Amino acid sequence: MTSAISLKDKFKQAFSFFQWELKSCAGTLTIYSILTAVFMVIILTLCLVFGTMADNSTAASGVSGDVNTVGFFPFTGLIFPELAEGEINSGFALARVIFQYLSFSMISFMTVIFTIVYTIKVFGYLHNKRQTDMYGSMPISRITLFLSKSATAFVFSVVPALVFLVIATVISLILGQPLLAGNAMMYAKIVMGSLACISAYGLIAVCCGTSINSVLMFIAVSVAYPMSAYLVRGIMDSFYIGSSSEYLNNSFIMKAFSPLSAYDGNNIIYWLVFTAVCLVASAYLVKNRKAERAQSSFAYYLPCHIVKVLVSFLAGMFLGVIFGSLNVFGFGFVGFVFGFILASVPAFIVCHLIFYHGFQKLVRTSILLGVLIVVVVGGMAFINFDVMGYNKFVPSVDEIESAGFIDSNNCYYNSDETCLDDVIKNSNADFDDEQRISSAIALHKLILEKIDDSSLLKFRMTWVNTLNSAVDFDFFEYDAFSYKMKNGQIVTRKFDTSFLEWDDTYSEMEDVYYEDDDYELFSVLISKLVCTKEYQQKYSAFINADLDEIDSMYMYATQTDKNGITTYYDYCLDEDTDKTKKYIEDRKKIIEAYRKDFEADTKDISKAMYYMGDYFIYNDYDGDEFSDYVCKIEVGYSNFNFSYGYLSEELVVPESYTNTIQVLKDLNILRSDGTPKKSGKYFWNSYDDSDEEDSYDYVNSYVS
Amino acid sequence: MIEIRNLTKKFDKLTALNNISFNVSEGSVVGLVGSNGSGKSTLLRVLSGVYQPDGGEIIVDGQELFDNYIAKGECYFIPDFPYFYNNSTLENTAFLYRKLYPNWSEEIFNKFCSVFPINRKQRIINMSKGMQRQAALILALSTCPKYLFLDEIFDGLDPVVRHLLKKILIDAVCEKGVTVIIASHNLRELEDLCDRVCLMHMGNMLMESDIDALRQKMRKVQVAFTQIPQRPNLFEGINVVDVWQNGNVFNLTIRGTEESFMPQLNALEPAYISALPLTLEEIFISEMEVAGYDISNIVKR
Repeated sequence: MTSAISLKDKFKQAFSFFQWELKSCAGTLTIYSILTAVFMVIILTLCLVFGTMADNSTAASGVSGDVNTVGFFPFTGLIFPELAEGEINSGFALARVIFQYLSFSMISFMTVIFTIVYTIKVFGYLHNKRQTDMYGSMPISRITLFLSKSATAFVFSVVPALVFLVIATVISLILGQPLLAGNAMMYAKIVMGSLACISAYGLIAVCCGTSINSVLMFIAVSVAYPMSAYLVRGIMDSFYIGSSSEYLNNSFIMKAFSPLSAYDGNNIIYWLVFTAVCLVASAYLVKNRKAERAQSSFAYYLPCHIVKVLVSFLAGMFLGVIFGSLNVFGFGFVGFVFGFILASVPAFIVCHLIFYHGFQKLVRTSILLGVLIVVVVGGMAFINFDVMGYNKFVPSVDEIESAGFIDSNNCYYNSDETCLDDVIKNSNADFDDEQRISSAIALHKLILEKIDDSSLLKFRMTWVNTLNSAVDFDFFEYDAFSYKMKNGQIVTRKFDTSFLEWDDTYSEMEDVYYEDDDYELFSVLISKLVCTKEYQQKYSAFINADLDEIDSMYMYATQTDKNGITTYYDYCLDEDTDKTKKYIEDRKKIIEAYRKDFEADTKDISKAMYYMGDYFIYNDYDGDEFSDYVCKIEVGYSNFNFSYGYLSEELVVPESYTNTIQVLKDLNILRSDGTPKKSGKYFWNSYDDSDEEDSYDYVNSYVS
Repeated sequence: MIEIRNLTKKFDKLTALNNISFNVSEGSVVGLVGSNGSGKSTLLRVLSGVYQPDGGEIIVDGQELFDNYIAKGECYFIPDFPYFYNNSTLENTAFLYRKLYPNWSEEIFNKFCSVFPINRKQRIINMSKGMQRQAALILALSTCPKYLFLDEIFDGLDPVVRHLLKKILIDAVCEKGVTVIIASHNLRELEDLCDRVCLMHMGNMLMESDIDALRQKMRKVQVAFTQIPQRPNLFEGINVVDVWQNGNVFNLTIRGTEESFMPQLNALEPAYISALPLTLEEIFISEMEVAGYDISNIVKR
């Protein structure tokens, strides 16, 4: 009886448990397998049928079937980046891609659902008195039992998923769509997500007395934590004007306690540590767990308190910000406090009733709610009244060693490698001359003067910033300052200039809008900082972007005849004008030549700069501002830093840019005398001043 | 040998076991009897390592039992409601037990599968309550435990199987020296099976005694008088636990041996007197009345 059990025997015990659990979960596994297999067959059949139908209809109509999958399915390119680069030119090829996308998404989705089902089932032994009797009296240590159960849940999740992913991959390979890297990445995400979810649920299950409490707690943590984090981030961004929390975009902090987020595949190290911590904590707690807690509320109360506080906080903040936004009682902060208390107290009580199945211990645990209310109201007062003077702070020239300024419309960076906040922070040594520092300070002060810093707007902006932090939908236009102070401190401020309040006036008599004088000052100050060769060299796309990132290129030239009629010429370097795809290399040649000219330019640089201040083509297309340029080149870039879109620069080619002009002549865009050519493979359209209809068509076709 | 020392188990404010101490020697059959909620099942759960004691200790063959998988390999606990998975059969459950229990005997498993009228490939969950208990018992006996803890094992068994069970247990005790602790309200069955009995009430051990000695300690006496002696306290000096009078006939429950009380009763010159040993059930009821747990008290409440 006293003979010790070796580690090998322990493994054998754990393995026999696994085999036994396999039998007990055989029904669930079978359901998973049947559903997945049937869905795969359905998806494959439908994809092939519709693909063949598309091919047949294309063949019948005699039209070449160019199908842009990325445009058709907006997220396909995000999930399988390989697809974004290729083009699908037949219905059958499209069917392959759709099969790939749908089957893999479906397998992932089913795996997540069944992982949770298995996990609840597997850890049910902690919550059922009869199971507790059976497992508790078995000759296996509690820790070995728990770990073997965790391993079982993990294997049940990842092995069937692997089997089906391999089958789907093989089918894809047979269909000629080998996306092995994408598939492997998806499987890695499933593995990571399963590890995190199972270990987190295991820890919650050890702490809870019932499966329903465990599930509710798992859902509460998975949902309430990230939502609270987004809300807090939204408040910080809204109330500290000029601050930025972009660095938190992919930070684990935003989803730290939400194990479902591990399926994103980000922060792998964090999720591995999270898994390890959960398993170690669970092993420690399960050893000391009172088995009689099965079917009572909790074995350990800490997670319950955390969830109650979290849910109360979320509910309170939600209603508080709503009341603040609605200016309840005529003062946002008072409305917030009222709303916070109004929502957090019932939320706390409801959570208590659910978790404790009654009112017992409610009064005793309410101290947590009291602390929460005091902390939140105190913290919100601190932020709302800007006790630290953050919002009004502008350093003086004497305090600054060097500075930097970034206009987000005029700033290229690779979003895979860095973020705008880092670009801003690292710009602190861009210039140290007093003139530009003074311009930056003046612009900073002007922005503070023109920005609405009322409490009401801050509360309203909280929703926008919360949404923005949750979906990373950065549609703002920022002007940002970075100061390196003489004491070594770096101060950065980032302002959304679309919310500046300009005092434009409208004269009914003249039917004219008069622009705020300060707006002109604002524009002048920005151009002083942006329209410099140094700024463009460091932040423009045409200098810094990889030539492979060029996504579109259009050219515009004008020619005025002796009668004063101006003809506009449009050129397009893409597959519409060049099926051979040689345009890709031609685009690169033009930009390379332009780079050389720009680097060497000393004479005409201000001319080029004028347009570089207006990157967005829909804003200020201003064809005739300068008549002495040869042509303008509009370049669009993919992989642009803004998640909604697409950076497009308008480059002016003055006569002194001989390298560029020579390349354009070689490409049959310009004649030998430098005037635009109404022919050549890249010629697209031309119209003159008298041809209004053409002009109208041009705009419409362009926009579409 | 199982040594239970100052064992205490609390569920929040409720003390389920209050400072209980007793020893169970090897090869004995101990019956745990007591009122509902007296702590019998809790004691078995603590003994089998399901619950951790809040105070005191349980030593099994010199080792602490809780979370000691080596010691637990020698024990087997059949709870009042044994658990089986939906698709558990005797065969697939044996598959697990074979690897978990060091003394698992295939021979015994096969033997009992044929002795009990049970299909080893049938889902246990679909069986009747009694059949489920039989299945649990087959698995228990196949692990060749040194210590067997049984909670309400006779519940739901038909008389034939009850008899069979008693025989199997007696054989196991006699042949293999298995120590059995049975908690049951079925005192008639315990009476046949147990060497010793522990009487529990509200978490306390009221008494623990050898069953024969216990029977000897109490007597049921019927005394009839032609004329009841006129004394203020008729049975003074006799340890009467309970008395019931019907005319000139008295039915007494007396604690003590016949030698100790018969001379005093004979001195009262009864017309008729007879003394019989009490059944375990009668002892149980008497002792519980002494502890304040009698029907009249419950009805009054």
